Amino acid sequence: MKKKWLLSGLALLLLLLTACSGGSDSSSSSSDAGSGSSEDGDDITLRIAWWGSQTRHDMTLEVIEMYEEQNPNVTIESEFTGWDGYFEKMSAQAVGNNLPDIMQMNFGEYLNQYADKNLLADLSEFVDEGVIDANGISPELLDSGVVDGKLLGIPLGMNALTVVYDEEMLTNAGTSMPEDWTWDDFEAAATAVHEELDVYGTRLFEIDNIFEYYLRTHDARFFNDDGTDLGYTDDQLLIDYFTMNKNLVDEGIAPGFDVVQQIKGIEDELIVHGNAPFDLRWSNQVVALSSAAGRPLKLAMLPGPNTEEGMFLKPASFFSVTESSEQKEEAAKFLDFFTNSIEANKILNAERGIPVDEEVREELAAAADENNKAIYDYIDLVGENSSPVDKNYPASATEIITLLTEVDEKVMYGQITPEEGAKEFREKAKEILAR
Amino acid sequence: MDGKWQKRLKKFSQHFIIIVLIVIMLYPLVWMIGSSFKESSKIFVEAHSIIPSSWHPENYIEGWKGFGGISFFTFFKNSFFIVIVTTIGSIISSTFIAYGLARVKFRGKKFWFAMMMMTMMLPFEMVMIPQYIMFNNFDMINTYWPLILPNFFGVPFFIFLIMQFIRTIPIELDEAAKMDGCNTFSIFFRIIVPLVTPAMMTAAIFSFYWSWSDFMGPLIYISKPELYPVSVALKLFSDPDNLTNWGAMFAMSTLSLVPVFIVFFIFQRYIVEGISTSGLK
Amino acid sequence: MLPRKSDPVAETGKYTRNSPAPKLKIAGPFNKKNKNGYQNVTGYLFISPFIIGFIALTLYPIVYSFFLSFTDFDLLGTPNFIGLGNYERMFTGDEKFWISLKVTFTYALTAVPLRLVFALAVAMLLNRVVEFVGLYRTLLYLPSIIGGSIAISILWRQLFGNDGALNSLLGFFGISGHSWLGDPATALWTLVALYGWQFGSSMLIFLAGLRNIPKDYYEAASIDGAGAWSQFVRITLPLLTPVILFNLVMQTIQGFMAFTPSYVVTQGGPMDSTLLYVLYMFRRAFEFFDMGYASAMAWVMLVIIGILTAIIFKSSKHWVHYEQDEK
Repeated sequence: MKKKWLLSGLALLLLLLTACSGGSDSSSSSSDAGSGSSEDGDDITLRIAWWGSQTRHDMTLEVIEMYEEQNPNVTIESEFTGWDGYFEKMSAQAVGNNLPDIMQMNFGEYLNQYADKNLLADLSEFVDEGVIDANGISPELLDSGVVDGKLLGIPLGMNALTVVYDEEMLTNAGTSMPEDWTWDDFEAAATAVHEELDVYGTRLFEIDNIFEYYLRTHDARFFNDDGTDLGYTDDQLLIDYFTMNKNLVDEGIAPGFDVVQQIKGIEDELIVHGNAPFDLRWSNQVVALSSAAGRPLKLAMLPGPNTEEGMFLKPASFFSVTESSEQKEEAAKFLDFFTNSIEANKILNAERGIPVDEEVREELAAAADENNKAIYDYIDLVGENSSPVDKNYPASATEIITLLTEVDEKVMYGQITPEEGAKEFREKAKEILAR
Repeated sequence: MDGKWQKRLKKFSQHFIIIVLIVIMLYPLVWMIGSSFKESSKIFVEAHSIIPSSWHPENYIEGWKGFGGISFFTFFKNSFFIVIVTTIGSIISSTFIAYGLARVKFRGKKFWFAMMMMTMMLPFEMVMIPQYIMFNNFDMINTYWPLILPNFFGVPFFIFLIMQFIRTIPIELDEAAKMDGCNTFSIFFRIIVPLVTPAMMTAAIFSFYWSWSDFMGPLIYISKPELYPVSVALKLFSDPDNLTNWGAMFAMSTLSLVPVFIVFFIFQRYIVEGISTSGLK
Repeated sequence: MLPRKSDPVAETGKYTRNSPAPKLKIAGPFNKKNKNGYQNVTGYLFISPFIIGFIALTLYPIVYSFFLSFTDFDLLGTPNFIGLGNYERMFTGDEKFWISLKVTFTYALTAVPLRLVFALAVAMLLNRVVEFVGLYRTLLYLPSIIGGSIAISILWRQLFGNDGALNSLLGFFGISGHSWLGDPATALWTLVALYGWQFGSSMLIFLAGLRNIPKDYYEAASIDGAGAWSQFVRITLPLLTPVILFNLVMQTIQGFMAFTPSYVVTQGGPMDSTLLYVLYMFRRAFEFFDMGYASAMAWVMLVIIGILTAIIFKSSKHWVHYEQDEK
């Protein structure tokens, strides 16, 4: 009995030991095989990182392949991930001084953070020299990638806030979209649908997106010019905004947070299910909404007055060249190809937002399907009727915007009044900014 | 006759309770499998029902294709490699260490035990940046070493688990073996290892699953998509701001559970074998 | 603390308390004991993998994270030393720190016992059944392997939603529904339920523990005429205590460090009612670029869990039954 155990035990152990040494060998060999890029001649290896979904990965890889074919001396190593964990991974690489040559970058506090730490290269010289042709990009949009006078990212696409609406629902409720509308018109239409069709009149606004627009229409900003304080002085603006929202919720026109909390994703929004005719969000999410809804949805600019001051085109994301890259010019060449090549953008199909280059945009708009066409038209409309995007986001912007959504929650749940909410937000935001 | 019926009734009620429990427990899993056959854009619209309104097995084909020519075959292969090496390494080393801590008396034992417990009390997210710096200095980025290597030095959870099982083994067995002329090492191999097999198998199941589903580790250490394991690959489908191929994602999520399921089903029978000490005594 | 190695030469030939006979047979330094019965060399040999790994791989990140807790590290730049600044801010100026602490205590102190009791009950039940036991076990373990995936987040919202499964069930009995996830008073309990629902790993350990109890103990008890309850109290429970201790300690650690349920299902809301400590810490570190502060939070949590674990271990002397004397 004992012997049998001993033998089988030893046999197992032996098996396991040999198995694991064999395993380690193949691990090292597989990693060696990957890093076999040589440095001789003009052979260039660029590392590029981005986040996204399956469609984006497939399209981007196809474009990279195309670029490699046209530039046989260039090899591009793609390091793509999902959105979850992308910036965590990038911070590890930044601390380890191991960033790729090109990285996809987010507008706002991310760009500003990376700029602040001098992690990104200034691309203006490449634009001046014509390595990157930026003539087709509107100056306001290109400027969104400028921090402290340095051009740190080339925008890859454009987004704008929009009111997505279901025209049929409005017609069924005996109302229609007014031409130049105001918040009062919006409320009237939402109320009509709510009363006639027994559904919600609108989705509850997401304050982190809409309040900034609201401030801009009142000639104010979210943050001041150097990002050291809030950009509005009159708390009445926030009080009015809260009150408008709160009334919609109290009258049952907009759902409360208890309903919003249960929405499982874009594809589960109220408008998809036909439970509300209005939804306010970013234009790039409309395709997901309408394909889940299975019926066309239309886009309109946000209600006014002063829509033109409020609306802005936002860069969907950037490609930035890192300061640690030793092949900045080669990286810049790729960025030029990525933004300006019509061939490449036909593959990319505006998945990162409406193309920034005018020529590319026209070419693609002509070939777009109905749903996408609506977005091209909308972006064109916004382009003509908007003001530049605000980019003075301090490093603590995420924390402050999170704070705003939390205060908003409290107000909507009726725990505090709009007045108290506005006061609380200012006090706590100042605390965070003072840190 | 009465006793027999009573016994049957008892047995029936036991099975009944278990089956009811299983139905409740498995609802989410069945839902996920159902969703993997639904049309991608309709998954949320039809979330309330388990059975798809129309069947879309092509989700599996779409998903399996992976990303830009790297199919899920590669990701599964990578995962299997990492997981098998990790599991073997962690079980062998942990059993060894557990025996030392549970049965051998030595100075400093409490200190090392406390150190071991402490390493479990810091979340990985908090040490991952320094760990990245360290493995970067070792030049191990883009290899599986950072994922595999630590497991060969014992995994605290398994060490403690196996320790507790060693402590349930009657000490008389050790004493008897000593009388037969065994030293500490032969006691370990001849008495302890066979008797803690259930615990080792339990640990193996956990190790397999944890390593299989570990996301953050491979994400930060591995940058080449062709080296990604399944756990990272699954996240490549989704982007909260954009169109996500939910159908393909659920299809691959379902597939990714299959190996875990099989491994569990195979290994759990080693836990079944109740060990009787009477044969040894 | 340095190990005091016993000198094999000096110790040779000294008596030991137990069974001196085999000593003569064994060559080599491995089984030498000093006067107190210590086997330092053997002990350190067995745990050497851990010590090597600890020094080579674990120590540096831990010490570094401790260092970071005294800095303003923002994830990208160079950390600047700010003394106790982070700790001061945490205890005096951060309301959310206290909220998250309260949420976490409520969560851990209810979810952990729930899971343990549930896991033990199911393990006991499975231990009695002979037919299909492998299948049952596998099926009951399955919920635990879906883990914190997106499927869980969608499902939980589906289950506890306004027109979700739970409200439909309640409606069937004529009870009006409730917005479980939307109401700050109940949202946390849905997460507690989720923790209890994923009881598979604890169940498995209990099951292995039950299987490890020598069958002859029960046989002997049966002969003595002990009933099922008395067998449970006199044999099962005492012999299972080491495993119970294990599950209690590990689940306490895991319960306090739980993060994914709240991250994927509720994101801490509504109104911070499910803001678990580690979720808040994660946010501070990676969303608010406040890694130094988050590191300080991690060390405060380590102290809290450390104290709780120490209390459990101290108390275990009174209720855990080992087959050897633990000194």
